[in-house]
Amino acid sequence: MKRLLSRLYIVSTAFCAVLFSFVLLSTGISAQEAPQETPSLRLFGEELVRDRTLRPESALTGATDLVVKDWPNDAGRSVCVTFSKSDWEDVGVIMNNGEQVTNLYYVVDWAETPDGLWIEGDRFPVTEQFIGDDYGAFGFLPEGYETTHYSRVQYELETEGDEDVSYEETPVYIRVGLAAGEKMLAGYYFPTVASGTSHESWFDSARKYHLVLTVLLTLTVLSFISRARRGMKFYIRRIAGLEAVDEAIGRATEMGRTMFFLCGLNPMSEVSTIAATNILGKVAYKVAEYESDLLVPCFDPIVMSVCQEIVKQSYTEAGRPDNYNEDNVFFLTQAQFSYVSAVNGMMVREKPAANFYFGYYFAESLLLAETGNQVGAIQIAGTDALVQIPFFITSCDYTLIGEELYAASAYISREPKLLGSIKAIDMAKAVIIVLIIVGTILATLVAFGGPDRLDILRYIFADL
Amino acid sequence: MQFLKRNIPVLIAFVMGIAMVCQYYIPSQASQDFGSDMNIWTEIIFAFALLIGVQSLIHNHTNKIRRKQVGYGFSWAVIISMIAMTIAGLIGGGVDNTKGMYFWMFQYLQVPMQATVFSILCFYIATAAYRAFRAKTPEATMLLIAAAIAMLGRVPVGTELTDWIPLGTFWANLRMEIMTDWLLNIPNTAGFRAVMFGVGLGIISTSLRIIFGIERTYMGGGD
Repeated sequence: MKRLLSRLYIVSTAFCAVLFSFVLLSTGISAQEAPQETPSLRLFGEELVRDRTLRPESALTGATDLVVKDWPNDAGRSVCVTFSKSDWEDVGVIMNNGEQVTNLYYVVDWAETPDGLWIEGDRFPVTEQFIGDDYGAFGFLPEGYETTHYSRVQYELETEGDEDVSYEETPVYIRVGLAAGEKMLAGYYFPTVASGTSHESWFDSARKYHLVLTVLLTLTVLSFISRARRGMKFYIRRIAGLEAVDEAIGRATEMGRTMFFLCGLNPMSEVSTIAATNILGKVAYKVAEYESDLLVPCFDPIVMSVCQEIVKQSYTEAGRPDNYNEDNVFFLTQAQFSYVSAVNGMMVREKPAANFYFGYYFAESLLLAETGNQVGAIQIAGTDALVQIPFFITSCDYTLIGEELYAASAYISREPKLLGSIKAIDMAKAVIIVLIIVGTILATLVAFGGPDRLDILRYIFADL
Repeated sequence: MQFLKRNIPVLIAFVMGIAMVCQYYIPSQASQDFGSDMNIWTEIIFAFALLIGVQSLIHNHTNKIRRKQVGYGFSWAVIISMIAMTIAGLIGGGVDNTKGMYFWMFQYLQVPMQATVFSILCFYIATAAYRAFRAKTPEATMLLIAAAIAMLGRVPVGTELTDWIPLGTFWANLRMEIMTDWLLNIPNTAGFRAVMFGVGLGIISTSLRIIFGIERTYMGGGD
């Protein structure tokens, strides 16, 4: 019976694995075979295409309250055009030369003079682009946000000789028209023409709450670092993956085998790569102390240069500068799967005792980690690539999830200044938890018909 | 020397870090131009660094060939391929020239080889899934059940299994596609967001440590 159950268990597990692979493959195949979008031109008949004109059979009114204002929080040279929804939009159909036209688009044109050359600035379906869809650009929602269309029109004024045109003084003229389809030239325009100017902003007011939080967070981090400098002790929870670093290096030394350290596929400008190189410094220091071998194959030449400096410095600090070999930190390629092939090939040949994967990874995460697993290496990974975390958890012995990657260098070094910043982040997390709870309560109250002023608070929380 | 090697880089990191933070909050044209100038500088530095990378690659593989290390035949393959691609690119133009030798080599050699490596992922997923789905602990059992539901809810055969449950009733919640949507949209999204919050805060904390010169390991100088 026990044997039967055991076989049943193996068969069911294998079935799940095969099913999982099948789902992955079928998703890929269906993605490749996605049908092409049918050109909308075909819907409107030859006659309409020929004269490129839309002539509704009854006079349409629309965009009567056309308003042109500066688009907020940008570098200038763009205006915000608003106008109310028309009654016929709900029907969504107009008659043109005896044919029904259904996919209608608003066309917003701009010109330097009211009778000048009109240039298309924006085009969107008549049922879309209401102010309520992008309230962040408008601050709090104005009245009629659900029935007012908006459009952002970017324009370039013609310069006269070498003189720059002042966008703040020269108005731009706007008119709104109707088009049948996404690609056809429009032919029907509403008579209203409005004008406005644009100016550049020196502060992005849509990010004001963001700025407040950034300043508060910075002050918190600096305050905790200052406390750490004064000798305050902080409790940091145990991170098993980092505790195992020593064990992994020790094991490799005892076995007399090499270790691999990978910094991910992102360039040096990404914080995850910087975090990975910080960990490399600590790992290389211990490797140098144990007089073992560490190979660092790099995906990016800048990362390679940084890694060479870090490893060299670590060997020097550990008192083993003569053991440093520059050839152990090398560049491979910038092609994702060529990199995987090269690293996997080295793993199979060298049979490393320990592999460290830190930084940001893409589809290659499982290819690397599974190969490492097959050669019997102890593997420690740390990434902030959310979709790759499960693959590392499956194939590695220890995995640092998300933020643990950023805490790793502080955790390994036990440097008080660095530990202080981790404690500050814990405090920020507590604040965020409180904000989420309060925001949830407010949203619930509004949903159940609470007072209007709660709605304003809800938007503040949404901005935060 | 210490000033040049340690203080100057920290000062540059501080000034540029603060400047880029300010640039994020200032949308004016001058600020945008500054941001794009910095991106151009990054590209220029990368172009120079690529030369160092190629030098490292050649040095590494010629060493392997000279010492006849294990697998030195692959090093020959790397060097010959690199020279062939370079010559093809110089003579017939880059990928843009669809009739050139470089395009042909890229399209019919490199792309299929990369696709082959990518397709190995399918087998690796099978072995990894086999290990992950072993129901040894209550957590692993939960993972197994959730994964089985999520997989079945995404394929026609899975949704057919519970197709007989009428929609619009309480029991409709037990339909495979509805359970799958719930799993992906509620617990899965909540978990993802929690990790994202941590990642965001971690990035801010690391950036601040670098801007204020508290973390200096990345410049090869320890703490």
